[in-house]
Amino acid sequence: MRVQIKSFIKSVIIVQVLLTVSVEVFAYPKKIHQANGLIYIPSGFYHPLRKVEGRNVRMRSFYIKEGFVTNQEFLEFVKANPEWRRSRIKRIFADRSYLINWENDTTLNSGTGRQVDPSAPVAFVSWFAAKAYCHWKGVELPSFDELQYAIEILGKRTSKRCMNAASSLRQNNRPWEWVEDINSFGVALQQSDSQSEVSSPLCAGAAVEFNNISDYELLRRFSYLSSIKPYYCEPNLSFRWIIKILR
Amino acid sequence: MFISKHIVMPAILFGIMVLLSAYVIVTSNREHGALQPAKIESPNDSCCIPPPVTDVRGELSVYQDSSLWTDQNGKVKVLASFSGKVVILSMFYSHCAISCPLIINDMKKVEQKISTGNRAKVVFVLVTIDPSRDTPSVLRALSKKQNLDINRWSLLVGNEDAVQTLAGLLGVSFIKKENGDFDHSNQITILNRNGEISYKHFGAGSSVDDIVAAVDSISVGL
Repeated sequence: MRVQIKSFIKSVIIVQVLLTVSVEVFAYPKKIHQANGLIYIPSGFYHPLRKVEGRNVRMRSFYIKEGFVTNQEFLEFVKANPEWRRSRIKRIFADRSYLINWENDTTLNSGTGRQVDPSAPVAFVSWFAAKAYCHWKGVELPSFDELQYAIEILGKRTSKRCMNAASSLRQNNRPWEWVEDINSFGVALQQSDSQSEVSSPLCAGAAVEFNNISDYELLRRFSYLSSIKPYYCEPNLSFRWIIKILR
Repeated sequence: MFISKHIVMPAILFGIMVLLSAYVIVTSNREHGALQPAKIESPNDSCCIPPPVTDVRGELSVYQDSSLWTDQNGKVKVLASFSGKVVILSMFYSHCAISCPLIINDMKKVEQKISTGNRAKVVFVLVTIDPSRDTPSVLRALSKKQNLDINRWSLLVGNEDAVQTLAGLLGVSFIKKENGDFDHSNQITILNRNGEISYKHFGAGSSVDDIVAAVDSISVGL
């Protein structure tokens, strides 16, 4: 009888472990993304545009919002955070075009004139404002590499949701979007002069090389992000957010 | 109903397993991102965080940013605590082999060259872009090694968000490489007593006369 119980317990444990693992791995990402308009991007290897060590980089998994943050969503943020309203924002955090297309601080439309679509991507927001929104919501801006990695992953999937999300991330007539590491682009553009490296504007251990210079879209995004400052508010510049999975 | 005694123990164990795994699943589910808006942190939530400086002057003042920093003595502060002084600031990291030591040296040269009267009105601030390695104790050791006057020099560490925000405000570029080191711009920024960017100096190990002249000109009348 002892032997019977032992073997039964063993099989129970095995079944339980398998059950837990499979639920954890398979069911939860789907469940979460379906509920919240997020797509699960699994961890994996990625060849970044800016090759600093010449190797593939391991990207950690994250959830990415399917579409951009909308006018309606950003409106909720400014209602809850008065210091980010158009009339109150400090000039150091956004230029004079901040939310210029809205009717006023807390109203999108007045009923007359050009209508702002509440479900359209929010525009005329600076990087500081986008970051503040993400901080408020408990999420993060994607980095340049995370965006490109998500595009690569989604490009391999054939479901309608994934194709729509990939299309939203690609640059075909879509808004540009902010990235977390907006401060990293100035490094590639300032070439350090190896003769007088120390007096140059840049401390760089090695010249930054580029992989994948045949990806036109990737280079376009790189060029655009290199040209903008964090306080710019542009008509065709929006943002989305990600949730990093820290396991 | 007849329940075999052989089944009772395994059934109890099975039940415990189910409850345990349900608990694990539910709690890990919560880790998958807080999708509710996070409560905005009030500085008064924590005992050791000073209240915000409310009298920040000027819309272009860097002091509008209320990120928290810890200095080399473990003291938590906001940048606005330097309000009233002329601030000479650079972003660096302690593992930087060549240009950051040169920048610190440049700042020391400025410290010696500005007029004695103005020296009391000036503070030197070094902000690390490498918060994971540059803890307050690392900064304190660096401060000692460089013989920095503790009354005038502050070495600050903050979280990643604070670092990115300050870099965005100052126009400093940096990128972390895979080996943990950084490529970064060599920049010394001068903030006037209201925290507005007054002058930027580029390069490391070159002449600092321009910085000295800029500091002297804005210190007049302080």
